[in-house]
Amino acid sequence: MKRFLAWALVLPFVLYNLTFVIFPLFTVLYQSMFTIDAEYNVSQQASLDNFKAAFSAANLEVMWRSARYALTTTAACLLLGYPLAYFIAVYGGRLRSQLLILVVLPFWTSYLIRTFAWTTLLQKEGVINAVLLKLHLISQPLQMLNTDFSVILGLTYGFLPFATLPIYVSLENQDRSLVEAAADLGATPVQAFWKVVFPLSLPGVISASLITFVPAMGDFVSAEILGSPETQMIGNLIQQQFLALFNWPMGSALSLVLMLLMVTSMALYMGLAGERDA
Amino acid sequence: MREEKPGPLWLRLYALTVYLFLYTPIVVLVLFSFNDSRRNSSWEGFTTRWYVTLWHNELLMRALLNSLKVACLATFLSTVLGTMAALALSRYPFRGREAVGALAYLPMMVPEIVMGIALLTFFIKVGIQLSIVTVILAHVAFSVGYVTVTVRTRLAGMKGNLEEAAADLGATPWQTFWLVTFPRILPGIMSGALLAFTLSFDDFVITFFTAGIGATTLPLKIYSMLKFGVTPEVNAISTIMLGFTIGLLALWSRLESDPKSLGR
Amino acid sequence: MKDRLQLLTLRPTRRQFLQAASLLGLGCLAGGCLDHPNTLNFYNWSLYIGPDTVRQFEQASGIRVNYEECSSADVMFAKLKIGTEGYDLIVTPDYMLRRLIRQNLVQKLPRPVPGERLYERLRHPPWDPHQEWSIPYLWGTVGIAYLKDRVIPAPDSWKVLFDGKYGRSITMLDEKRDTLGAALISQGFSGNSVQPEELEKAKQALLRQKQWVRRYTSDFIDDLIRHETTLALAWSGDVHQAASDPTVGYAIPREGSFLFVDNMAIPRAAPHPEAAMQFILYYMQPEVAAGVTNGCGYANPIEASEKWVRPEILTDSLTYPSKEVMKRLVFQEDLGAGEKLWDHIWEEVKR
Repeated sequence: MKRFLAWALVLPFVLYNLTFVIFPLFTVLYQSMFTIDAEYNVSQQASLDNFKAAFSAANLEVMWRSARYALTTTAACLLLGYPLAYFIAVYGGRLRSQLLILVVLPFWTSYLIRTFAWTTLLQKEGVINAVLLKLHLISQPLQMLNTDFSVILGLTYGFLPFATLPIYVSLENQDRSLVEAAADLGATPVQAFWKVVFPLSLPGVISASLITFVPAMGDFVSAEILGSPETQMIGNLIQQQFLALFNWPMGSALSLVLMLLMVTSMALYMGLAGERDA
Repeated sequence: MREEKPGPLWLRLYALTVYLFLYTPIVVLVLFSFNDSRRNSSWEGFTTRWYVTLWHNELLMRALLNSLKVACLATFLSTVLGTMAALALSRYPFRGREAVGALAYLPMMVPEIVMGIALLTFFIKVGIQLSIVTVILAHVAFSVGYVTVTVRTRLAGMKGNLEEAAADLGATPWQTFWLVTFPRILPGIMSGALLAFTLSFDDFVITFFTAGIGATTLPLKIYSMLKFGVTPEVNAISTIMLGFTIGLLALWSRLESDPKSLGR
Repeated sequence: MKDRLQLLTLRPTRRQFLQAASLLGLGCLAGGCLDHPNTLNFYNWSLYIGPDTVRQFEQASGIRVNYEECSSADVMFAKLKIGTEGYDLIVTPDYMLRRLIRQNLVQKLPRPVPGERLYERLRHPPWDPHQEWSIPYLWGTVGIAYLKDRVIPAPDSWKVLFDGKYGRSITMLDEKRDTLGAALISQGFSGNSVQPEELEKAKQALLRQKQWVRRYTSDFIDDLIRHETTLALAWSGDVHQAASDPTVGYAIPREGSFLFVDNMAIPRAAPHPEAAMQFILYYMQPEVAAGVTNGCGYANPIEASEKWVRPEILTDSLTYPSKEVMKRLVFQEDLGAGEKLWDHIWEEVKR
């Protein structure tokens, strides 16, 4: 009876996922094995040409760039998010929940608009340059838009809250008396942090990294709004294949390569993190 | 009770800087909704006219309506499906539980663009016309996992004693669920629903690929404005939505201080 | 007080919850998806119509208009190509119409149109010589937009976009036909060339140019006004829309350029072709067409509309180029099998 009930409850969910997640992913795999003709019709002949083309030197460069951006973004999110989460979890006091809400609040405005808002700040005649010029820190306005910097900034801004929350949860659940015990045993606060607090928060750090890395790696919005022709990411390539070149098979092949990259890097990361953890 | 310390100065400053980083674009966004210029670039003086033109911008208002429609329905469906799955996962041991649990995490591990093109390809191959319905189906596909995970987390903290007691007192499983279990997990369901709503309402990438006629949501409309010139009406609508959310959250946080349930 | 608290903490009773949920569901369903026989689903670009055109048509005809925006010609083609049904009237670039016809994605106009109202030059265009499939909607030119106080002298050659004199401050259009076409013309070739050697040279020019390109975008005006860029490959009407800013100039290079024409056509699967036809005929009235020109800054194809077009637009060489400039302009033609090569090059350039 219980088992029947369990399956009755879980079956709609499973069926839905099979139909609208798993099966579609397989159609992508299937589609990637064909080519298109001059009228953008898909040919009947299966081949692996798309995968050969997907690993062309130019594409590899874009993939390497995407990986670099995503890694930098993840690092930046951890660097900004960890101390923030730590501050809220340990010193937030009664204001903890309000402080945390403040972290996620910006994200009820559209991601597109949030990213676009940065152009106003970063442009040559924008706020940041004006401040820097006033302070005589620079003599010429800096070109910040349409650079690596602006794209990574956009990504970091987009995903920082996602990174902060899991870290916060892992810190909040910690027993503070452990730190006190460490102090009693003669550890300096810095030692106590690195020996006790940080290792215990590692699960949070790991999920924060994943939750940042995955969307950053596949993003095309930041590069489209804040980037330049020199900062195209793999997401931009896929989007272009689908909507400008109508080469769905090629776009599918690129998506699969992206997935492959993602899974490998995550496995690698989990492996490394797991080792440290143990 | 933890004693309250303000924390070291450098840490407070650091946190303040991060908050500044988070809020500067938002402040700019809000500020420029009052800018007396069509372009989002330099300050030309104060006006509230964008809020008026926004009201008369039929396309933008319809996009907002579409977004609400999609988000409501997608939230409803994914909350029902996700809650059912979460109940099964946390209450009953059954074969394949691990696999189902992993299934919930799958959409989080697939980049949005891949989900988008996969669903597009799927709809076309199966012969389903793109419309607002395909958008809703797609939104449920990516948000149901989040609901499951959120509700399951909440359920994990609860013991089954009350249910057993209810059963001992002769309640049918159906009664037990509605009278005992459901009220207890409602906050968790609400968190899941809120999360699903947020994700659906702001989704651009997957909607972009799966939208058909009559399915221009707010993010899609904003995207086409970004391509051909943004007007401060977009800032105005964002400001209103932000104000609305702040109001709602202020209310909520005063009454239910459980921050973990917000955001993903 | 306690009741209130309960309500606010979102702990409604089961009945309330179910009621709310079903109301939510029903409310969402109603209002959408109800197909009306007297409807026109009009798929057009953003900001590419007069502010009152749609409303006035609705009043005149009793037809309800669903105006949908698309973010690029390519997205529109993609939507039609995958068999999206429901659009009654689309606006398609000249070069794309032949492809749409070849692929059986558009249908013939149900009734003849008064083609004699068109400008001479638009009466027998290569993509549809007898107005069987389409009618021109708006037309404009491709040229160079620039900041007047920075670019001196005013550009008169495409070379200015390719010689790097102004550093990394250029935007090019995110449309392969315009950007690759301009590169071809700058190299002394036809802007519609499908010769591999010529395209190769154009590609090299674009790859070299990339170091100076800030982005490939259709929103070039914004970047110019913000002084982020100084030069842009541009469409005339968009420059016109920014004419309130006197610092932006527009030039059509002496090597020649494109006269682009966007056309109204009816998709094969249109549910309401008759409504679409009505809109086309409505639009071909001179006052109506003039209203669109006045609203969006692009010239319309109806000669007699000049009487209603605002004089400052009519006399502006930006929107209505002089006879001798017109001689230097060519249409963007269907590339046939050459399209693949263009796609391939565009892919390489943008990557």
